[in-house]
Amino acid sequence: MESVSLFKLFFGTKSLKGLVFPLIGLFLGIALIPLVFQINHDVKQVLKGGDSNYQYLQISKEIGISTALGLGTINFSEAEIKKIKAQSFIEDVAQVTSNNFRVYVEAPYNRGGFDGYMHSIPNEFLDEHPSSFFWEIGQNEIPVIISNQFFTLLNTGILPAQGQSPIPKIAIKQLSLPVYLGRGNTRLKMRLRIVGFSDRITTVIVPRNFVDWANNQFHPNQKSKSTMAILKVKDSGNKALSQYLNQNDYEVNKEQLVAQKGMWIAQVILIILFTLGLIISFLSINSVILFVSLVIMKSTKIIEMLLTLGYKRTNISSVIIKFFSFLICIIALFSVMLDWFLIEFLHHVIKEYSSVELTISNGFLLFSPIAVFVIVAYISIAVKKVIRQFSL
Amino acid sequence: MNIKLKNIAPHPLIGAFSPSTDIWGKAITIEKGSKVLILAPSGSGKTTLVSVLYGLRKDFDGELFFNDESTSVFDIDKWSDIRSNSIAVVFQDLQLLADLTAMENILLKNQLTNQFSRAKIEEMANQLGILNKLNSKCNNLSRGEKQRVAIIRALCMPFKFIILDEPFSHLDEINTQKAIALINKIVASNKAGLIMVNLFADNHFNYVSQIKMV
Repeated sequence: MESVSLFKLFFGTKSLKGLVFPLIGLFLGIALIPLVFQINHDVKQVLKGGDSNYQYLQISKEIGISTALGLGTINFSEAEIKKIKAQSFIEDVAQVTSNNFRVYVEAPYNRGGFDGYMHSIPNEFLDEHPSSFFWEIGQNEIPVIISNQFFTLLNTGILPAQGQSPIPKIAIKQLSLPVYLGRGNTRLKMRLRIVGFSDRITTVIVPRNFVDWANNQFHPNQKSKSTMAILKVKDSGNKALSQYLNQNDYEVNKEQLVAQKGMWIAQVILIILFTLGLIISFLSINSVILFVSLVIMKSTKIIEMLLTLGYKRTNISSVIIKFFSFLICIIALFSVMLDWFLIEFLHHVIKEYSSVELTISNGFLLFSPIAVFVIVAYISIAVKKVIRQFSL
Repeated sequence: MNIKLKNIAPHPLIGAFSPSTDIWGKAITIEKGSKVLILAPSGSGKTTLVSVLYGLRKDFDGELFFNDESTSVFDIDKWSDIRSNSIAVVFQDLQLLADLTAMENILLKNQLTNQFSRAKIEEMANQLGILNKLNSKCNNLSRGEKQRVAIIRALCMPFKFIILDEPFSHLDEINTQKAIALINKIVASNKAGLIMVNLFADNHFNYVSQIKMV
């Protein structure tokens, strides 16, 4: 049985032009807020070196006259590490173990070689931990993680200075470089392969069991040295932390602190954008509600007629609510599509500079459905309130 | 369903109605399935009575009962149920939407309960001589044609009473008789009662009683 559409009764002859600007505003508001969540998430991920709530600071001992004269040591003792770990503003500490044997790396294409070094840290302190970063006794190839900073320096400074073309990450991972460990008769020839790039650690990292094994091979009675430590903290801007580091003459990688300031500035900008998004959304929703009220007022005669015929107020309000819910869903869908496009582009750009595996924030994923639910609920309440005024 | 009026006195008419009235301020009962004529000269509150019986006006003293249930406790949804399932009305001012076609106006009522098929509606329109007007917009119809559309629309629901407020005022005798035949047929099939509100006495239906408003 055919029927007369109530939708046609309400909206069939009315111009919807008045809805254009409120809907554009709503589109921008709904698009802006989750984008802010995601950019905030991305900034944190990049600066903290992964999807983590913690920050990692690389510390070493300040080189003073006493250390230069051999009166002091630049190594961290077990007792010092325990003392650092006991501080309330420090979540965890990792000792960076150094090699106590010579490392000589042969450059590819017979271009000579250079002396190098190796460090190791516990795997849980790594931001980049590929499955190939694994070594066992008898394995000739040593997996290495280098810092992204060094990789950039290689491509922007070292290679161009030698008239060489830059090497992409994928190509550098294919190289297996000969490396000589130790000196004289006990010298071992092995191979090095770069398997990852770290934003968090600015040194050359190899698996801890390899350094322990090699140190023991070359100097069985000598304890492994540790000239660096990694601090895991919740807030690198904590005053007590910086005071403690100063008092104990520990030097922090300054770039990490600058990055923290950068993150703070970025967050201020993002909070402003978030507030702007909220204001735009709020004003737009209220404009939509104003438009709905106007439509209802213009339809007074029709509504009174429908109530007289036996229609219930819920029959009438549901038609209006369904129409606007549909519109809001379409707007939200388009804003999510725009956000996906922008985030994909942003992640593509970030990947050029960082090896951090960027994830989608919960805020981004949850905002749109929650926003649609809240806006539809808000409009529904407003429509029902206006329709309730008809009491035939 | 029976309808009982107990001392009903619409606020605008208090002090103005005649002591000889059978309705205002009196107790009367219209029994289930009965046909009554309410004689009401102009200005006596004829449309007010229809509005009271249909729940459109609540500004009155006294009480109205449907099956001994006071309507004073009815909420708007209960009245919607009554308007779509119990009481049908042909309003004096017809209450048609001018921008809709005659068929759309009828369907708007019919789709509440899906009482009749389109073919049945067309059959009724044919019986009243407005089949060719069903797709015309109501503002293009004559008053007599509109009255016939309003009659068909009122019949497109299950009802226990039908209230007719001067339904044939713009119909000639032939079309009046056709409309009466159709109304009688549908009223009988619903085993319903009928309340005719008119300016003058008539014998259109087999009334069991005649009630004077003045």
